[in-house]
Amino acid sequence: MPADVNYPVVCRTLDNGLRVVVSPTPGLGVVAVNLWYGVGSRHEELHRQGFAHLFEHLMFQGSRHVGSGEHFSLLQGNGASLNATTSFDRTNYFESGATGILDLALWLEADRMAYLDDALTQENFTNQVDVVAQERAQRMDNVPYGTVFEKALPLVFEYDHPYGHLPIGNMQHLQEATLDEVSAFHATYYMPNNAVLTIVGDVTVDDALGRVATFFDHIEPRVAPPRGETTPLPPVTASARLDLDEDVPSPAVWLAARLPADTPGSRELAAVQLASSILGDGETSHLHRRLVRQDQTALSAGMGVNTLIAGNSLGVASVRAVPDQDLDEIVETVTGVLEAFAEQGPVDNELAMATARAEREWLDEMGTASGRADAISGYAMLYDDPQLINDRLQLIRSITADEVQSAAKEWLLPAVNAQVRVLPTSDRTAS
Amino acid sequence: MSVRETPPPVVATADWRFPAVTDSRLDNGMRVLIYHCPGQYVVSASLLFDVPLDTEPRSLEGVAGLTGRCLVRGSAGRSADEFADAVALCGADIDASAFADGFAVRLTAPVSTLSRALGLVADAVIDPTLDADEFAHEKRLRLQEIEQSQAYPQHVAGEQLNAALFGTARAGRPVGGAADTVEQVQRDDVVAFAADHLQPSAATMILAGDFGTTDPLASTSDSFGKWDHVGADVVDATRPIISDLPQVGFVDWPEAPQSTIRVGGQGIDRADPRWPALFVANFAVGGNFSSRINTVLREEKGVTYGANSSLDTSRGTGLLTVSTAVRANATAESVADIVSILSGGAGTLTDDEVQMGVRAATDSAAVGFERAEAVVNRVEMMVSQGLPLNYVDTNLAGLRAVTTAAANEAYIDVVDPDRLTIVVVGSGPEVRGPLAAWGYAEVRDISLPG
Repeated sequence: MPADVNYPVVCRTLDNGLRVVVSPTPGLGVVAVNLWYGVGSRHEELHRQGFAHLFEHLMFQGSRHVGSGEHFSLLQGNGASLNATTSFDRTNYFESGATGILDLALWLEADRMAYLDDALTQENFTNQVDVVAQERAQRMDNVPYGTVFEKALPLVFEYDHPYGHLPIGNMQHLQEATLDEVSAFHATYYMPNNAVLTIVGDVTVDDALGRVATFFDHIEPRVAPPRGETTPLPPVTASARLDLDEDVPSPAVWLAARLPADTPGSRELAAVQLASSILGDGETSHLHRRLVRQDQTALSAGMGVNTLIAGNSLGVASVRAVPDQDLDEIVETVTGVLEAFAEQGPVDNELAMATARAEREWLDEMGTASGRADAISGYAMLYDDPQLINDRLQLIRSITADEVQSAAKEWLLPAVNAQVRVLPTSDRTAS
Repeated sequence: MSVRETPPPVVATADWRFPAVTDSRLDNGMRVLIYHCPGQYVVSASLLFDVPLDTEPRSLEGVAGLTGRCLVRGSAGRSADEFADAVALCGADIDASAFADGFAVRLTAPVSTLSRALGLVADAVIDPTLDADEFAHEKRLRLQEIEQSQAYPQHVAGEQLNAALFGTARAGRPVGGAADTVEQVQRDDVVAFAADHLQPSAATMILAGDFGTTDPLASTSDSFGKWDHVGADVVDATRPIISDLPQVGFVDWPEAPQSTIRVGGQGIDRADPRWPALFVANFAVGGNFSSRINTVLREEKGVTYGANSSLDTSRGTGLLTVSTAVRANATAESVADIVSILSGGAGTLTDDEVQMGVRAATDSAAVGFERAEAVVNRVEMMVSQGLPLNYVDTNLAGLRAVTTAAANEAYIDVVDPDRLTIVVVGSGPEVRGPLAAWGYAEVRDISLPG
């Protein structure tokens, strides 16, 4: 590997509680700004599922000194890339561009952190409720299998569990929401002391910290939301199965598993990730080789891990069958593959291959200033330790075959207990 | 401390330049282009062959794509699984595929395993097994993929747009071949395609990354230097003609909550001197989040998650495409809005819009080409479309020089709102009816293969 990549990481906390992390890359010509807020779909009230994500949209509708749509036009008009995403655990906002955009990006982020309320209007709010409904339609409702993941969640997490619903949420809930709730949400979660601001790129530490102070020092802290502890749940032991008839081109099955939560330097979760990779990532994986190549009963087969912090992470395996194949047989085969791996663990070069893949994916993610900034914000927000970015490769390399085997046995094998099966209702024929 | 009330100025940065190239040629004629990209520890490479897609015989379309799938299924005495294991042990990814202007074997690998990984690419290209069972399986997978793809409205909309725009030209049919021709392809055809078209004299190896102590030219030479195969003559691509008739095609998609819309029309290729000006014009009309099209459909009307227009090019050809998906009961209104905005673009682009487009297009280069993969992708496009190696920098200079007058002129020259091809994938008469009533062109019902 190249060197053991080591990125400089300097942290400061402003008087108002904003955690700031700077990682200089001299000569890059690029700067990335990344702001994580400690709020995601798991913080939502149960009758407002999807609110955190809707709120993220409203953050682009202007603030006291920024007109509606100006956040995009000012930054894009200077060549910057920008966006935001909402997940279960957090919401992130990010900009990257030539180094000259730094002040503009910081000013825009500070204005909406401090003064979103001034620009909220019923018109903007209603508009973005409509936009989110179309986002959901485009990504999920008008896509074959698009809602299966959402339907699989309740098999592993109860309705009122933090991960019992997806960030995109419930459109009915959003239509019932009010503008006052938007203000209240901002007041509850959007404050310097519930955020991490990371700057990566062609800056010096002192200069970057000075600029951050200029734009953020004046923002008052508020009472931070409680961190909220969630009890870790054991693997699912009772079988739960949901059968769906949908307009899909092929039978398919999803299996879901509770996994260990992501904690700083967690060896157990790293072992689960490597086990999942050996079982279900790419052409060398057990599921692909057995179902797609050997049996030729599947068009695709894979497994992945969604790393989360509140009690548990989430694992999902899925198999898209060749049309007319029997899902009972496929599930039986998947069970056999998981059982065999749980018993035997990795053999020959399997762990070396999974480690090499994980290393490359990590280096790839670190290959842009914005990728590094996002990782650093994550480590700072979720574990209070941005230096962890420099420990990741060592952690991956240190996982043993025994750890991978135990992880597969304890955490991945139980995936067979939570199944969603989708069968095609009709053939879509010429009309 | 006082709070700043206006946007801080953006400090202009020195003009960014594309990474410098080292342009070499091996004795067997293979060209090697190397780009040093500091900090990019994952190297990206593409071995690009000059074999345009319309080299495929009409009755065997899909043979190029199948050749790509089969190349990585065993070579130099390794079975398919052994080859995949060897690639994985390098922490690498290798795949091969055909596109309009060429055929590429692409590699991603950590720099520490680059030499070994290049050796595997060479095995796949120089000594592929093209095993009969593997071929049969890949062909079956391709046929199943075609069948599955018909369940995705976005895929169907794009495919039907190409069919309507390009008619009987190769570009009007799927890159990977349609079911009827893929059915005809036999293993011998794949063997012949590889033998005829994968040859060092028609190959360019493009490499980008932070190579450290690895010498990428020596590694390439070690793997490919002894390859002396001579295949068929390279055939020039024919340029497809884009339809100049107003057309509306409709695919009925029962119970679709959203209509998927594609609008296509004449564009220009990147060698055209008007390219920078048209690029800036398109940026204003539909090429960014704050564009006219997205502002109306998303921010004012809330009928879509997003709408954008893009300029796509292949060698000698350019296409303008507007893509969106809208609430079903707003379909006809949205299509009419798009055409009206395209039409209204003529002669109305403002100084602000043009200056924003120029800055956006030029100042985004440093971020846009931060990754080694982005550099390789762009060079692959330049080489396959016959553009010079200084293209990125000269295009940036061209973009910086675009004036409001030039942007308006290029737009009026190229974009013809009366001769667009429109495809809508939506649900039933309630969507089709208003489309027909709108009257842009007679609505043609498109049937999908059953």
